[in-house]
Amino acid sequence: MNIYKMPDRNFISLLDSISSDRELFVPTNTQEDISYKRWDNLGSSAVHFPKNRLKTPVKTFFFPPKEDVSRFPEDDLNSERDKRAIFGLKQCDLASLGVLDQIFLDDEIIDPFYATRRQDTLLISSDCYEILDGCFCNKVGGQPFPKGGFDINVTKMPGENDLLVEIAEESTLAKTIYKDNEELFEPATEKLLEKMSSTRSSVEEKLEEKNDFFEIPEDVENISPKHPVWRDVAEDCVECGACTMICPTCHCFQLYERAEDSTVNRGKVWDSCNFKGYSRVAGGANPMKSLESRVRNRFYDKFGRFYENHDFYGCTGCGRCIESCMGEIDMRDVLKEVSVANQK
Amino acid sequence: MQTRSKLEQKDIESLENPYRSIPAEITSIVDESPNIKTFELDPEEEIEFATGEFIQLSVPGLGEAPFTPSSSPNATDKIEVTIMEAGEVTGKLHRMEEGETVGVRGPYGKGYPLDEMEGRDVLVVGGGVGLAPLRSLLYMLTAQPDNFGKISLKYGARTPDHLIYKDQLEDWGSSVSEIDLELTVDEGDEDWEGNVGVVTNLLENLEVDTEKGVAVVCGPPIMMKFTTQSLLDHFESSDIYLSMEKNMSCGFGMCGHCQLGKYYVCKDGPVFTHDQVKDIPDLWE
Repeated sequence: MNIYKMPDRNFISLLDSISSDRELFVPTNTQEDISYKRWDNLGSSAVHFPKNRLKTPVKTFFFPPKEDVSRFPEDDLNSERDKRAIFGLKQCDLASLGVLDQIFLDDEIIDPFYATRRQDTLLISSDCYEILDGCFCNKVGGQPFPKGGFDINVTKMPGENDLLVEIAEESTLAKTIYKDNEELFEPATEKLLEKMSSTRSSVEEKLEEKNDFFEIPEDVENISPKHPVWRDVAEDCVECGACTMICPTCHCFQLYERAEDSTVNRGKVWDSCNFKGYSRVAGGANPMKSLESRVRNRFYDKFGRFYENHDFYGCTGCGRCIESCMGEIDMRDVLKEVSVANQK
Repeated sequence: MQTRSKLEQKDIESLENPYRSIPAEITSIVDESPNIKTFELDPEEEIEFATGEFIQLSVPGLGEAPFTPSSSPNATDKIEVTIMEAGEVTGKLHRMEEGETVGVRGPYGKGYPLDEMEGRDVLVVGGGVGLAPLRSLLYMLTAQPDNFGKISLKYGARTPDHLIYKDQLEDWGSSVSEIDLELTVDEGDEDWEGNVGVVTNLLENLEVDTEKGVAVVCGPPIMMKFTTQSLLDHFESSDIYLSMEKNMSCGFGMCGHCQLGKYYVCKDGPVFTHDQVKDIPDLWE
């Protein structure tokens, strides 16, 4: 395994080196929250080493809320390529990219905007060493530390000034960065590796304890949109769409057109199956007219449709939808109810 | 998750932009019925499609809507699209004139499986503007009639005036035609001497070898629902092909809108066997 010891001041030097040829985003702790900021506007002391995931879903870097995607009649849209790096990602963030990759990097048609950003972005992840109230990655195939999907992963352990830094075997980019900065890396010690493993286990245990009250039901697809479970959820839902906007795997969008002189710009803007007009067609028919059918769809999509097509869940267990819901709808409680309903 | 290494090997710069529309001139417009017109389009770049696949047609600056071409895939230089006035985009299209430019991209989806139909009787059932994609299929079937068994078309519309492709219907109804045609209208007029009633009435005494036959249905949801119910008395669920329609935006399985059970209509359809979709709740809503 390409795993090294690194004093935390060296990690700052590593970030500095990475930022010399790419735009680097790092978590910073402001009065209100912890959010991604551009490194070059900050002093190195402003870099915050996050204990758990940030509020912002990482999809915003690859699939922004709104962007132009083509022009007409001449498609002369010029998109500049920006080499980027993001530090502060957690396993659930990486997992969300794994979901979006299935959508946007299909075998037949590829979204070039997503693909370009994906290729141009270096992913620096880190272990979770505290869990949030809404975290349940352990229930959807994850764990509170990355196992893959990153270029570089950093493990910080309580009470240690030294970090453990893993260079992904499959990332040529990360290997180049390692070679260019070899002096910052030291051999990993047994003691640190053991501590990493025990820290990881203890966070995992906490997660399991927290979420032992529910299971992911096996056949969400068999529950009719008219089942009382959905009526109960719909009663609390205020149709704000926050759960889908903040969800790191929700990928629905709408194309729209805007004429400027003789050119037409086609844009792509986030959409949500929570909204009433989502499935309405010309002529007025609307298969998901009822809120029940729409709240069901969000669950069915992640635990039914996506699972059936890709063999893993379309939910990463990040808990952002739980945190953001004004109606206090907790996905875990709903899944629990669905399981109970299935047994009846 | 091997995406990065997979991506590193891809030539990102050479990827096609699937959101780009090709300008196409409207070269002719035919009035088919009071609310349906057929547009012949001449795209600046040739668009090759298989019968039953669809394109996204845009009114520049207004928006897009999906349509399955009604012309034969063998006629490659021009594409015909038959459009009913239903919403904003189709409304504007109906007010456009020959010589104006629209945008097209595609084709998308999975069309009619001609190879599955080989050697078998094909019963085609259409309602209203639903005959549009079926016409493309019928062109393909009749281009090689020896490859298929008996080809039948049962077609219904609101009134005689609402029947589309009136010239073709006359040809297909002639005694030398490869097609066994039967028409019906919900409401006749003083000149109408044919059947009156819904299209399912035409399915009561089927003269098709249903044992070795397939059925293909396209029309409004209510017509598809009852036609399918009726066809299930004669055909295997996996031998009934249905053209499904949903709200669509991207056309290739990314934007989410056209979900139908575990499928996306744009990518996995628009043509499905009844067997694929029969368990989906609220299929016809």
